[in-house]
Amino acid sequence: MSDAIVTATHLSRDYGRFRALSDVNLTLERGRVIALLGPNGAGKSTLLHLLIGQLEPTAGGSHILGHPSRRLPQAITGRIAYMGDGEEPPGGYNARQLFQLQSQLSPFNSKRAGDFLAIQKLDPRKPFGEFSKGQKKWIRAAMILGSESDVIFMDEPAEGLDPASRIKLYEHLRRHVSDCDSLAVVATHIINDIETVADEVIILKRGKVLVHEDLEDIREQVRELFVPETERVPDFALSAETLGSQAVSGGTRFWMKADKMDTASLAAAITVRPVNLEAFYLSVAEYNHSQAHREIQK
Amino acid sequence: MKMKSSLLVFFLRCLWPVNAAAMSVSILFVLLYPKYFLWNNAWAAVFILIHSVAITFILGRVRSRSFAFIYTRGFSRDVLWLHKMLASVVSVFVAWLPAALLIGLGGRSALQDWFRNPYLPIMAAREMSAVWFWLFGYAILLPMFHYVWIRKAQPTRSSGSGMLLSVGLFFTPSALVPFGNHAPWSVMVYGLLAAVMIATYTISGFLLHRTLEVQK
Amino acid sequence: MMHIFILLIGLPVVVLVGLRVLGFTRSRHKNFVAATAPAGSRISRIAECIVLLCIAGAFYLFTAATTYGIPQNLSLLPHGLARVQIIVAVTALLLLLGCVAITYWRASFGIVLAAIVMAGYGFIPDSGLMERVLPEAMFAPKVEHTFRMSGKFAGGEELWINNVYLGKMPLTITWDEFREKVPFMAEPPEGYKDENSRQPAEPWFQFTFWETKNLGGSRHSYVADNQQYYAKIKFNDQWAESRLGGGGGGGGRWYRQYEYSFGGYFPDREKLIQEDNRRFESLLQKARLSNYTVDSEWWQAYSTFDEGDLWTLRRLAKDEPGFVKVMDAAARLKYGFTAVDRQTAQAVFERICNEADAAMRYDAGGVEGWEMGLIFDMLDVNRLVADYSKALKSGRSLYSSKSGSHEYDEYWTYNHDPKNEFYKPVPASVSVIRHALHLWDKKLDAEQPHRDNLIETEIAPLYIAYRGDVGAAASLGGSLLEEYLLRQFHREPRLKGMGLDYEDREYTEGQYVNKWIYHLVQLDTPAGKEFRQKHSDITLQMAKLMTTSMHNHEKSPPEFVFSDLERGQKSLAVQYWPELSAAIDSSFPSREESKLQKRFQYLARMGDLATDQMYIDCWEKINLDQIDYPSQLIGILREIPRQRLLPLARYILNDLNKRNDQIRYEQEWFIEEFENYLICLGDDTATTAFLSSEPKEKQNRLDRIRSIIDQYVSQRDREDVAAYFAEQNDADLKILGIHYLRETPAPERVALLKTLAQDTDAAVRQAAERALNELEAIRQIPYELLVSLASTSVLPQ
Repeated sequence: MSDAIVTATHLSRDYGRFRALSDVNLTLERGRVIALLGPNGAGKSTLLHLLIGQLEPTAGGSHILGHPSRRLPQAITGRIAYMGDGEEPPGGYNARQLFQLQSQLSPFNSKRAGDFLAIQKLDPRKPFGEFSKGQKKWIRAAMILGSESDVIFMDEPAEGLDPASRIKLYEHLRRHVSDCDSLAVVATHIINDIETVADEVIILKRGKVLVHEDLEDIREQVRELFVPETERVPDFALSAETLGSQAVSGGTRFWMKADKMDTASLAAAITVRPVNLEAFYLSVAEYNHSQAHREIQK
Repeated sequence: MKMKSSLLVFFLRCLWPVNAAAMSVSILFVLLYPKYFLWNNAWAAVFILIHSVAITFILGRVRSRSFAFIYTRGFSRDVLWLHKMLASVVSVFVAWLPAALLIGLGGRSALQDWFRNPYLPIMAAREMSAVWFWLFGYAILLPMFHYVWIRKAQPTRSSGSGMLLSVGLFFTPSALVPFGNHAPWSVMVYGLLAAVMIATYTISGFLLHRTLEVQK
Repeated sequence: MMHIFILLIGLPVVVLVGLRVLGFTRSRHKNFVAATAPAGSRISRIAECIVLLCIAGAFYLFTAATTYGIPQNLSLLPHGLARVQIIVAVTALLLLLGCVAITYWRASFGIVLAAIVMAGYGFIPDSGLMERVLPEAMFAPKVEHTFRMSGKFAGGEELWINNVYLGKMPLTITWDEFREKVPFMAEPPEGYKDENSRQPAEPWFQFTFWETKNLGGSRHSYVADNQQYYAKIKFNDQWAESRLGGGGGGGGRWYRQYEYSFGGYFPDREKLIQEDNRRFESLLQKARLSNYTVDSEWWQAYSTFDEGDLWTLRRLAKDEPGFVKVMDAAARLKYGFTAVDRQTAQAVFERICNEADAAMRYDAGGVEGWEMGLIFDMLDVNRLVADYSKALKSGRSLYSSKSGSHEYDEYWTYNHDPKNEFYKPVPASVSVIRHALHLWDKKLDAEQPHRDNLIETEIAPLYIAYRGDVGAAASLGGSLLEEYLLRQFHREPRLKGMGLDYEDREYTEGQYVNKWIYHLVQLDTPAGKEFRQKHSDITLQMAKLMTTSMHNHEKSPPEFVFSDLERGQKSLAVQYWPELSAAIDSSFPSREESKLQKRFQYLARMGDLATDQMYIDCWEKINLDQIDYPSQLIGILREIPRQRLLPLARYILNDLNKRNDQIRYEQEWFIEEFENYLICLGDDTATTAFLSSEPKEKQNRLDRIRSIIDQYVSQRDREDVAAYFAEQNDADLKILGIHYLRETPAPERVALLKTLAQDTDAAVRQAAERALNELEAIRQIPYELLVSLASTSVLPQ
């Protein structure tokens, strides 16, 4: 039996004449953490809003737990948790009240939420509006992690958190996914942190899905090639198979699939190393091959 | 569908400044208005209009951060709509009930009598009909304005038609009321039309609420 | 307030919305939804169509029903205009439905279009646009003229105008039909002019015909103009000596009706009228002879006469209180009971209500109203109050029209005919209830004048609250109402003028006065009395306004002026007397008898507070040379109560003798006529002088005495006159007295007749016996010979 709980079919969305999302097809399964990456304006938030049914698609559709996103019954909406970038509880509420609000929808693990809250030693009775930006994020994350949801969507959950807090957040998220066999989709710009917990990666650019792969596969298949300025760029690095390249101080970096590399002919100064998710992302989304190629030829 | 008290409280908390002001104004207005109340009292009409617009505007701000929050907590659209309507009804009663009690139980009459107001207590019997009519005014305006805001948040190009109709609804009684020459059957007919309108706005508002778009 | 609201809030909203809809302002929404998104969802389209239909439908129905349109007023419109109105209304409806259909595809456009269509439809009838475009003839009102003969047994007379036979009266004809049949004559027809008189030759008479035409200018006005026509009337081949007795007209924008009432003398008919009058009088005599105890046969015969109603009995009862028994009997006979208990009273009440509802009218002055007076106090007043309260709160008219005379202002006839009424009135049974409550209120006030009764606490406030009828509330009274009036007076104390707000004004005697003062001064309650005392200056000013207005300076002072006579010299009547006296002089500068009459009327109303000297002072102000005939003088003295009359009359006679040089015409005859009047008053000196006059002169004076009694002595007082004459040692006077005793043979008068039948004088005995025999003959007349000729086949058709 398929564990797909979120699907999107030819999903598109326009804002006026601007196409924000174009023909997105996805199938997301339980027990996975999905990193949703992309440059600003790529359509990440739009995709999340479409998936949870808060926006009307211009074309195509999406389903969550077998129900169309735009017609989710109460039994299903209670099993979806969302933490968005453009939403925030009113300042007068405190954490305890927010937990109570959340608990009216679905089973809510107050202890788990409270323990998470306690990591930052936040007072659950203090009004929400009096916390810092990062603390607000922490409280909202506690609401999500306390719920016994099947699907979690998070949009920039780590923004404003310090590095240690970010790590703890994702650790708890990972635990939640494992314990509840849920699906978590996290849109973020802070790639290094999500890399520690993500199972899949979706990279969006200009509304289109550029990449949708398992992170392990990416790690296995993609390598980074550094060519110092003093060395000649290998031919294979300039081929269309190259995923991306970036001119940096002292040389140029190229990213490509390992099986497209001819490492035997490489000069000693040219190094090949495993790629991390951030580098992979940059290669695909930010530094495309043709741009770097022009720079090299300069 | 069970009532979610914290959701209702959420909406009421959004409305509390407006409701507090409305209750204060309505109590003072009812206590201190020097002439007797008729069903077409212009000040009451203005108050009900402003209060209705305020209630529905606040509850219709689906693009605000707090509403984006509540819409993504996992409540279904129907539950959210129902609790919004409940919050609207509670808001109406917060403003209307004290006024109704003051008039119905004779508090206003007694105070005005103490001020030696000539119209009270002799006109007190008549005033209760105005009170019910105020409730009727809310009953017409609230579904209409709720519809207007819900309509504005639809994923459709044209969003102003709801507002146009509300303007038309405002002007029609404003044009008709000053004319005293209404046929005897007109009350029943207007009442029936109003009931159809209220039902239409309510049902369509409920259905359209399912498809409104929430995004900051 | 509403208009300011519309302008300050509504208009800016409309402008902003319009700019937004038409795209003149930026819309974040348009940039948010896809350019390819549909204009509206199916749900919103359907909903907006329904709502538009409701809003525009309300406006459409209102316009159609109130501005010459369907369905209320079509029957009143000229045929052609009605057709146009239907076409316009149907067109507007089709356009509206089209707009609703357009709304389904283009919501904003459809809504705006619907608003334009409705505004146009509402605008067209009122703006006069139709009248500018359509033929003028379409807007002419329908005018009907009705000709009828007045008087008894009228009907069936032939009406000839300008030598054209129009038909038998009562005759109704439209203006167009009339113009078609009757040619206009600039000069009178042959035979019309009488060489020896300025009046037309019999049987011709002239009358004014009210033509209706459009004067232009304001195209809605149709006003009357005059034309002269020459008419004569024939009945049973007899031309009548006729004249135009009266008429009137009225109507509205679309229908005018004019009535012409003719009086005429037909010898044959006159005989029948006299016979009919004799029968009626005999019937009344039978009642008197039976000590005013009548049965159903009498009532049935009485009812066959046009004048056989309760109003006639009321008028008779003023001078003959015995007729009250007849009215009681009439009521009991009609409703079929002899004794009244609660159950019977309730049953009778319900029957009266049902009959009133069926007839759609209630005559408080009729038999049913009199019956209410007999049973009201056995009805449940709480239930009456509850039922009437409901009617007051219903918002419906309490009646469609009422008619009656102010002399009997409690006895109005209330019509509840919903035909042509925009507001359907409550059923006629509500008027029955009102009457019952009015009677209850009077009873309770009489029992406990200083305490509010249930009607005053429950009904009076509702009259104010739901009807704004201060007059009706004031007629009931009560402390709530009094407090209301006093507070309103403190809020607005100005007495009169156009500066008063609409709600503070009462229109009376051709001017606007302060409504609150108007009612306060007339309150017949302790509070009213207190107000009049405390604000006597305002009260007197109001009295002056109500008495001497620009329209009617002949009106008598209102009753409240005489409400505190017990205060003697401090009373309002005394305070007002000098001012009124001065006003009388200025109101009637050259009419001495009017001045004297007004003064005497006022003094009579002052009762014992008016001294003999005050009367004399009034008399002495008079310019005797302005009074031509003694009958003028005698007519004035009628106003004075009989017990005050004799001393004054004696003084006047003395004064006439002293000032006889001021009498313009026939001084001796003038004074002698006044002496005759004194005889009628029972003055021994005058009587003695009369009795000692020459037989021829005495006979002549006897005729004039009889004439004086016939004209100037009330029925009630004639018994005193007859009794006085009976005491005199003069057969002629006794015989004259017998004539008046026989005229109204109440038991005590019959007793006196019997006494006179034993008189020492043979002529007196004979006269008395003849009178008694005639009365006995009347008593024996069977009822079938006393019914009105109208109910027999005697009358010609």
